[in-house]
Amino acid sequence: MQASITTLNLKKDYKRGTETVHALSGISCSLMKGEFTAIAGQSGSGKTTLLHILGCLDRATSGAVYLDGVSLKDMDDKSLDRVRREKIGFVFQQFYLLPGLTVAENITLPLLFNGKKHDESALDGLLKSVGLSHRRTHLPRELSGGEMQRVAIARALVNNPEFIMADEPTANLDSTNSLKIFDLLQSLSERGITVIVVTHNPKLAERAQRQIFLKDGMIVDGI
Amino acid sequence: MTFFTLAIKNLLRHKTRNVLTMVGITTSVVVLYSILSFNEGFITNLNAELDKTGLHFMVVPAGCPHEVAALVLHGSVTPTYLDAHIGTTISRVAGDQIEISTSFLVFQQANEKNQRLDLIYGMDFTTAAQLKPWWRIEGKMPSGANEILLGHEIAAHDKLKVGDTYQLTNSGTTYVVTGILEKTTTKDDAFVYFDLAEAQRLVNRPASVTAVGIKLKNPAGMGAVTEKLSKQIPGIQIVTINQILTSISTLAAAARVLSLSVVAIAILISAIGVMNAILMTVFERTQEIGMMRAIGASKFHIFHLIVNESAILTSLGGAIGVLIAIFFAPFIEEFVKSFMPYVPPGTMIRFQALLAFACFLFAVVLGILSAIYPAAKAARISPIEAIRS
Repeated sequence: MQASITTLNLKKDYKRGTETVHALSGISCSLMKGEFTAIAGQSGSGKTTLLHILGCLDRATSGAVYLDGVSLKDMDDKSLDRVRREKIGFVFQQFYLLPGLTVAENITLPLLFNGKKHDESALDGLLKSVGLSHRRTHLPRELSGGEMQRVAIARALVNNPEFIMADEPTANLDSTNSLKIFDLLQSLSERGITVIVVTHNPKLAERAQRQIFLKDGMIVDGI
Repeated sequence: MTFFTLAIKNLLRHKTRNVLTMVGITTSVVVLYSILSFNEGFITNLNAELDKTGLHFMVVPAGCPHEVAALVLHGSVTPTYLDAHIGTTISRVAGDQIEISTSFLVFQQANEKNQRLDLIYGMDFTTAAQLKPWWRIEGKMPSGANEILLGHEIAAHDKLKVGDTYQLTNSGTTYVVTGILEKTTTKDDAFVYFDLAEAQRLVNRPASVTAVGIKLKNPAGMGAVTEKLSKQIPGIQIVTINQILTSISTLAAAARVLSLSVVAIAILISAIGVMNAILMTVFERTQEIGMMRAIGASKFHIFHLIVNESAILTSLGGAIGVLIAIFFAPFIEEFVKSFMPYVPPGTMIRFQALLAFACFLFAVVLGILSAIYPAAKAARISPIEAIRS
């Protein structure tokens, strides 16, 4: 299987007042194309920091990240914007749907930044795949938490990304909806999308194809 | 979806705040259009008013040029007089350059019957047809000392008709109204016109005139003629119509500067209001902007979106402002006139397509400029910090 993300001795330090915090202390791993990986660990273990670096939202202090064999280290901000726009779909814990936009408009928002027009049949397919065909014209306030997260997943998929990166996507959901979301993410990996999910819930992490456990910024299990 | 529709949907999320911000812009544009249009109308009407005097220059007693301007436009009373024979002297000095030389005497006379001061204009009726060719008279021009011509306003106010009689308080003479001016919408409407000699008798100044109006055969030779007159006739002052225009403009300039200052302050307050509203939006939507950056929006996309929102807000405010200024022009004009020391007759605030477009464009540019700082701030938002916040 081909590696789509590789990290080498990845470190991330940041300042908190006068103190230097070592968020990541040498992460080296490879994630395969189409793999469904859960990054798990306690709060403060560095899992979200790792996801942000893999998702081109943040830069490592040292070490290297290769996305499809291309190093992110030498890319400028505009290039990182382009990688996010074209290759990565993000799902957040708090959904971040725009309250003034309908479900369909929220889903197609990334196309605006990508300079593409939405294809009605593709949108129909996307809505169907997340089970929200009947919610197309609804506003976020008319949806349940689980439905909002499914809209966020559809939004992450609209640009046909190679990677889906989800940061605690089930943290605000009940157990039934959490399982549905994980099943949905799993179905995406089966379609060849590399899915990386950060979760603090070990039981949910077990549902992923692969688990990486972090502690104090280091991988303690799952390499 | 486009940036435009996204911006509109974002604006609709805070209707009250954005409507209030827009009202600020609308008010500024109403004031801007009205004042600029009023100023232009003022100058245009003033020029037209002076053109209607039919004269090239006036010979007046040496003194303040502002008094002369007031005399020409208001028919006000000046405290000094010229000798009645000055007309003959002027004709002699200027030779055959003069087409018309007409002396007149302007004063105010108590009218106890109507409890007001009447404006009396003593003139040579034989030159009236040449000096005021646009006059339309109901009846006929007076030809004797006991005959008078009434301005339209006076006749309408006193309900006098041709053939009626008119009497002044200090004069035992009864005058016959032989003619009534049709409405000119100029100061001419407010006068009672007497034969010059009769007017001199009424004010007990048989050898005085207020001024002599001169129309030249060739206006191009005005410089040489006025120079010659100034050098050879002592105690006179020559005021050309252009100088009168300048004097009036100077008199009105203070009011105009004040009004333009009000416009500038209104615009500044509106711009700050827009900037504040957009900044609030940016602060409130920090996480949302962070999310947009995360899903692929570049810094330029965010900048573009915020500027769009501001420009839509101000262009809508500007368009409404221009429409209000055009449709409510008569009311606004009356309001502005109440603060002006002198306003020439005629409509001041008119529909001017170019000015309307310029005011609208100004509102759009104001929106863009006011949004630059908030938009730059929004574009600098780090996605990671926004999401963490």
